[in-house]
Amino acid sequence: MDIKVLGPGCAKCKATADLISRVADQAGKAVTIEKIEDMRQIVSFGVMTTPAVVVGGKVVHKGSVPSPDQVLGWLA
Amino acid sequence: MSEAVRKDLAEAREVCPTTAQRLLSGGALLVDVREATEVAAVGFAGCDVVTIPLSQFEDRWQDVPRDRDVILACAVGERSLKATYFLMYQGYDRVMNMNPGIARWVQRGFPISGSAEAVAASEAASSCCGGASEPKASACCGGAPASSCC
Repeated sequence: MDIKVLGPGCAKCKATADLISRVADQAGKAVTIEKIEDMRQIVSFGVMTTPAVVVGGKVVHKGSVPSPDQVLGWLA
Repeated sequence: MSEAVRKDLAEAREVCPTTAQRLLSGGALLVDVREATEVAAVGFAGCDVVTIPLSQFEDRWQDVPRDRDVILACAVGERSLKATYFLMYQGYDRVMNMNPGIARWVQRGFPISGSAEAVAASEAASSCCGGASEPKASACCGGAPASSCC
């Protein structure tokens, strides 16, 4: 599963990527996480508030670090 | 959450404060995306200007007219670049970013409201990540570009 984390490299963006990686490991799910840090690329998803998460080409979350339960929902 | 479609965005058009001043004299609209407290301390003046703080931009971007040239501005040109790209995402084709922002505008002696001394505080507020950033030169959390045409 390909997951994109959109954000300019701030602490919350890093925390989001780390959380997704950790939850995926615990759930035994294989994921590929790509960090998108370029502003133009971030906004190309229609996103203004970061961190944001894109799963399967769809923006599933934006504006905060997601909860572990939210991440599990995306991995299901 | 969102059915947003990814769109390829062209490089944003950027103008320096001097060029912006000329365009504004010719009828362009200035959109200041700084927060209300920053605008109250020091603001753009002598031109047609509206304020849409970046924190409200996703809810209020439709207030920006499509039928005239629009220049987006902030303290250093980073937040306004983000807003510029967002308007481009929404299909606007007459938008441009002022880079640098109000700091250089003040240096050039262009009209302002409030106090020129407040510019430093406005520059310090120029982050999109609530202060928890590890700045990168190309990102919205970065600092002001080192130089520009004016």
